[in-house]
Amino acid sequence: MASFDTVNYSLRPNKAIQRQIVFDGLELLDRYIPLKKSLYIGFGSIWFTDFVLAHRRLQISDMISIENKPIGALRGKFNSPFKTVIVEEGDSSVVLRDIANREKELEKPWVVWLDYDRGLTREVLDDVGIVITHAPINSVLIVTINAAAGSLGKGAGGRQHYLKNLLGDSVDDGLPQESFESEGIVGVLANALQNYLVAQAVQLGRPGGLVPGFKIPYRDGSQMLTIGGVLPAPAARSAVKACLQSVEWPGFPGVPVEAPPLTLKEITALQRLLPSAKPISRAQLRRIGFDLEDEQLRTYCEHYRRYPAFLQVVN
Amino acid sequence: MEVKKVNADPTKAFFVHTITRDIKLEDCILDLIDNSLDGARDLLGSPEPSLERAINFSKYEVAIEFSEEQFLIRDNCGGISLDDAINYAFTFGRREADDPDAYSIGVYGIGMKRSVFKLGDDIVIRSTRPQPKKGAGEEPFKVTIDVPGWLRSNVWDFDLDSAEPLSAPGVEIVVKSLRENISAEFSNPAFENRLRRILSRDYSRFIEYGLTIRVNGKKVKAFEFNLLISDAIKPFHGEFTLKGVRVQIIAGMAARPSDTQDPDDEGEKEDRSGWYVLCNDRMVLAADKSELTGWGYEQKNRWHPQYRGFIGIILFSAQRADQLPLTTTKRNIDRDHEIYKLALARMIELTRDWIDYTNRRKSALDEAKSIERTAVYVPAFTTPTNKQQVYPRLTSAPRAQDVTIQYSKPLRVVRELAQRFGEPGMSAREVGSKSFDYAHRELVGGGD
Repeated sequence: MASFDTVNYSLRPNKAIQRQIVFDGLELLDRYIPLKKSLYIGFGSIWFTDFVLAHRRLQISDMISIENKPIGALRGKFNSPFKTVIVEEGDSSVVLRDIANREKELEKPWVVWLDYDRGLTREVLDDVGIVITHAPINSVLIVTINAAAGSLGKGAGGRQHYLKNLLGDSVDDGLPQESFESEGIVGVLANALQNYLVAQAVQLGRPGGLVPGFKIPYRDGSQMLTIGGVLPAPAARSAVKACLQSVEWPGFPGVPVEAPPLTLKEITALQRLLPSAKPISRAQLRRIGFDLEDEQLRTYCEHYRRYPAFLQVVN
Repeated sequence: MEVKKVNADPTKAFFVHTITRDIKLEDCILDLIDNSLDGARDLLGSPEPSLERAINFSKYEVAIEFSEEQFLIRDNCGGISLDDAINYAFTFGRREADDPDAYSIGVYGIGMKRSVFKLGDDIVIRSTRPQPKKGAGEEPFKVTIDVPGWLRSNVWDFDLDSAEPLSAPGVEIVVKSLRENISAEFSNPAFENRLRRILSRDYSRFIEYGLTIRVNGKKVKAFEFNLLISDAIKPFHGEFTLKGVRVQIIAGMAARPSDTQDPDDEGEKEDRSGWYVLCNDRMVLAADKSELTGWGYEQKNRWHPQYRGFIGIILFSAQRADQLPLTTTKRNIDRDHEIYKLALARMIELTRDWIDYTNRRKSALDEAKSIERTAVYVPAFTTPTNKQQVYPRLTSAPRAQDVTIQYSKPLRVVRELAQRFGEPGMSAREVGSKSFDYAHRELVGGGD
């Protein structure tokens, strides 16, 4: 079953925050390597939220949405937000290879967001391999996967074995088995997958390598993870690296994106306390009439500028 | 016709651009560590390597640090003497008259130069010797190599200058202006992990002897060789000496053999089975399953997943490193070496014992497993001398006749089913088998 059959994409605050972080980053990167003329490749589903952001915020026009089921593809075509969005039906590996075989698509950089709802599998890594092999210089690769412990196997030992088998040397051999327990697994997975992207770029002989740019654990019902980076031209590598390692780069949030669902009234009240040099305390919240868990408050304050405000539209 | 001369002079480019292609980056780093260890062994009075006896390397440390910009290796293993530096360490290849230190690993006089040339263009090698108790010590020195400049000049020599002393007697090599591919690898965290794993394995003997190796500040742990031992399971541990080369062999069961025969199952990448060949304590081949160590020799007994679980360790020790059967990269064996041929015959016999056991085991699996469960792990090097490998004697009657079912299904579907079984890493074979059991339980209502 496709995830759009089970999830209403418009009501996911953490997903919205994660998307904002990614596009804030891409907007910043756009100053160093222009992305306007890029080809955006993603899984637009029937909502195309990331496609809308890519067009609005980066002015990207050429876009391909990959959809692997016939009904999904038809609904995708029906819901396509812009004239320049093309929905291509097929397995992602097949469509990606097909894109890579079309010369005109290799004349511009790609911004590829492989936004899976499944966990890490060999097929995900195959898709990553296709992008790293074929994406033109100054392309961006972003991968989102389900990072729930269960998606990686049973027990710490099982998960260690599974990840080692998939990601090889990108998994640190020195990690004790406890690191693969459910509590810490998203961090281990994030590091290993980021290492894997860098290693693949070296192994596949990309002259500018891959500069890591996104490591965003977030909770969207399930534990999710977004990892990504830039495949710069050799001459652009140091500039891209400086951008992605600068303090204003948003791609490595210090706090996981696990903001609490809040009412519009709560959001408004909290926003009036922000920005603040000192952390907002729960006592302050209580004074204005409500309360949150410490972790919820900290997360909200970290991500408040990107927290969406949803209103139900009655029609 | 008048006898004419044919020019056979070597070219500098040969050393910088050609022979550097024959060696992998990690092996270059190992070459530099080998030099450090030869220095340490020399300071210790050149003790003979032995599987039974420990040598105390605990005073010595080799630190390796690298980034996208530079590479550094620093040791406290005694440094290069001025005399060695001028006459030996920087020559290309060992001279006939050179007398290597006893039980060293460096053989060909090519390692350091090849390594630094492979890494980059801007090289500084510093050395500080220990101060003698009486009299004046040697002045610390540095050798600077600007590779492009050296290639352009007609002179082969490098400049040697005095230098500030290092914090401890030893050698420090710093390489900057790294080659593009090297810089890319040094920025790759997977390379660092891989290097740490290789060092852990290939210098396991030295680390066990107390040597400290650090990679980017983090200490490398020794790879542990453990073998199973019980009344019914006994590893082989024996030795012979020929023409000044001592050959020690340990072989036995390191894990229960595989129940599956699929190459994709049980993580082939992690498989430690096979032969480990060491020369003067340094690992040359690891987990080898090729013809070089007897698997598939003369088209017989090619490696097969059924044989997982076997580990053989063979240590060649010789006072003169050129008597050892290793190639210049120290990552391969000279299979035509007389002593290696003799050792190989013994290795094939030991491998054959294991293969026979795994064959017998297939028809008495339950009995074999129950005997194997009583065995305990011991460090391989501490196993007692034993001239005969022993594996469980199996008496069970063969099981009811089995039949193998084989079918193909789309990979995606198999993965989906594996996830539904709650184990996404499950092999295709297990998915097939579980599906059969599931259908059998649902439709027939019994076990197997």
